Amino acid sequence: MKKIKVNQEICTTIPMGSQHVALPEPVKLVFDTENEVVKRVSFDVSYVHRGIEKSLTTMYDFKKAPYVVGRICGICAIAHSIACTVALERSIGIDGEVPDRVRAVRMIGLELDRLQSHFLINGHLAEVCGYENIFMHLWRCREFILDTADMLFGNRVQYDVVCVGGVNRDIDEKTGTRISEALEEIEESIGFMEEVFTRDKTLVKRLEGLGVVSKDKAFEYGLVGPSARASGVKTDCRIEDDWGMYRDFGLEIITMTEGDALARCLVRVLECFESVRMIREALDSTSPGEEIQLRVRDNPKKDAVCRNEAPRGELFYYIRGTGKKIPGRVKIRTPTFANIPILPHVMIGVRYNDVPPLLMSFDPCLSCTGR
Amino acid sequence: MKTLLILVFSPVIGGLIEGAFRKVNARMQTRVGPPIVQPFYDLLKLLQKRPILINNYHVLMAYAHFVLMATALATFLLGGDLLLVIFFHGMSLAFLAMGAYSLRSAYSHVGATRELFHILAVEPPLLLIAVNIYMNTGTFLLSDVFETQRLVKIMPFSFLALIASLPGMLRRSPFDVSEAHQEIIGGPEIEYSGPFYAPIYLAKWLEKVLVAAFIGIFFLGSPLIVVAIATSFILVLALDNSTARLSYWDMVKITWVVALPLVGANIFLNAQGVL
Amino acid sequence: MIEASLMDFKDKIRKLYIPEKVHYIGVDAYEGEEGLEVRYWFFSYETRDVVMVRVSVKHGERVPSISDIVKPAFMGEWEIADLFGIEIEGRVENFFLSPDSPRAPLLNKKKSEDQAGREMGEK
Repeated sequence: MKKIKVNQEICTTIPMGSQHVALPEPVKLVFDTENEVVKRVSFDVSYVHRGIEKSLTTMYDFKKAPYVVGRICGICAIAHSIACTVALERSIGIDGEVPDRVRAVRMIGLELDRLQSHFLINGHLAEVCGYENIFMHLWRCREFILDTADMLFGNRVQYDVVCVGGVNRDIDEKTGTRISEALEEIEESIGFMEEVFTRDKTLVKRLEGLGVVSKDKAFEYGLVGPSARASGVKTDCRIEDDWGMYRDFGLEIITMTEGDALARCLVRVLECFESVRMIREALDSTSPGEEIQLRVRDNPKKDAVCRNEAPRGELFYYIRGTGKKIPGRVKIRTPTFANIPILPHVMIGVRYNDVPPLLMSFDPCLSCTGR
Repeated sequence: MKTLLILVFSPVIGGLIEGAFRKVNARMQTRVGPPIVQPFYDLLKLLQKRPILINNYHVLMAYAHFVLMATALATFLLGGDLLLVIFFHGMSLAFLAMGAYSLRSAYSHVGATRELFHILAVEPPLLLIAVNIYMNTGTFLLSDVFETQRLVKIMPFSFLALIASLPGMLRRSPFDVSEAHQEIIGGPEIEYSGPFYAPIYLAKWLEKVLVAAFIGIFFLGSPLIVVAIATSFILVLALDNSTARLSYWDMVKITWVVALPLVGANIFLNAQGVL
Repeated sequence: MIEASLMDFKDKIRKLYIPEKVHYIGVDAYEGEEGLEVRYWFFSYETRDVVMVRVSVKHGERVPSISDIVKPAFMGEWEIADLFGIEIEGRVENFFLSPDSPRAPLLNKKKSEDQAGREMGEK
């Protein structure tokens, strides 16, 4: 007769993924739960590895690299392009010569991207809380931001506007004024978003006190981006590694001290206001018609790094220049990669029905992680 | 003849109510929404799909769920015993949970447990409302209850209690915990597909008719009966669109804390002869 | 940039890494003419500099994990273990690659070896 092994601990194992309604991208999380309270978590992120790092060192020369890395992520494409471009420019040695207009256009692109990304994730957060109406509304506002980007760069998500040594497309005067008008409307919808996440009782009840990360833990686990700032870590790569004009414009680092899901959400909301201000400053700082592309003669020859603030946090690029057209090594450390190690720790002891909002409040982007 | 008419028409009315639910819900979210007969298209589509059988017991429970829900509705409309109606309704939900427990699916299990919590949250207020109706009419037999006029005048608080337990009954946010699309993807219903999902889908329509009829009791003989039912449903939808989902424990707590004292107050006032 | 050997790199990292002052960025490996090396990246909040700790290793050598000093380091370590075939303590197999993908894709192998790996993966 077959012996049946009796397990002393009786857990219900709930798999979440690799495909799940609450997940925008494939990741597998397996929860062992007791009465819907999570006891153990294990995860697997390997579903979307596409070998982009390998292709950059074998197939594409460095001028194509910004467009290739733009395909890593559908939401923060331009953050990847900019980080790659800046690292390449530093490797070539032309980063000091990049004109101000180029910096301004890049900043506008990145901040618009940040706006739509924050709207996306906050809407999704409302959706996984079971609040369909807010989800619909926030994504409708996001559509408007995408249309604005379309007007500027000719594309809604994959702008592909950044190239080594400059940008491909300038913003003319007429579009500039139309953008200023659009920004007012965007600001209104951010105001609406702020109101929702501070006033709506059920939403606040769901998110408040959920998945608290203390400041020490945030340092210890090396959190990045809005997740770190919500715990009171004053870090922002736009200030620390300024490739644009963020320090000149006096970018304010928004921090909160609560460190719960609601704080992470609100940090993103408040950052949206700051992004709008940055776009305005960038539009006013320079006038169109200046030179927008440098002529690049050399190949990347030095080792160079760039830390760029993607919507999800610190994006790290390392490029090893070998003097050839194809770099020797491109290392990409994406923000989600830094935010995942803490997840098992904050998820233990949480009820299963709170897991999707908790996961979404960290704003995971698995395509970035897989690369 | 009357029996036959009721049996044929109640699913049709249920489908239309379901369609109207979707339409109004979509309008509240500033979407266009599907046509009002969309549920019938869905049902036809479900029946045409390839059947995938997981185990016999599982499917049997789906049919048991449907049959008991239909029995509850028929008992109600044909003037049976009110307690039996509530009993059949609870039994039907329990069968759904039992079917879900018969599988080795984590979502199904979690959903089934939550479905039982639904019964726990909703049935006590319903039973107390039935008791209150008995106090005022002297009978549990619905055919006799139907002859009374405008119960809402003497049972306003019981009516409010019914409204308060509606989100739980109709599985609407904030109390849509057993379906919880983003957590357990439909819960007890997740493993049903195609023609085996059809009875559950139909049972949902019937449940809506049952709820509508239950609201109707309070407004018998009043011209406002349709308006009252529609207003209650729209109220539920408005609540659905302005709240996030709460946990199952919150559902039980809030439904009880709101609904039970309301019915209790009504019973007390009736006993004192105030109302 | 800090040069270190396999023997003393953990001590150097322990001395360097203070969670409130130094931010851990990631782990990377690189195979150049000098051979395989593992790099640990840090960022200092005070000096606003990126610091690299470089450790040269030989193929097949076992590298100790630093996740007892730097807690989030395990993910990056598992990644390079998969992508470069570096033996790292406590690694999880196939964390980044699927079981049927080519082994250690980022090493500069000859073409035949690469194909052999792919064929092995297919089996």
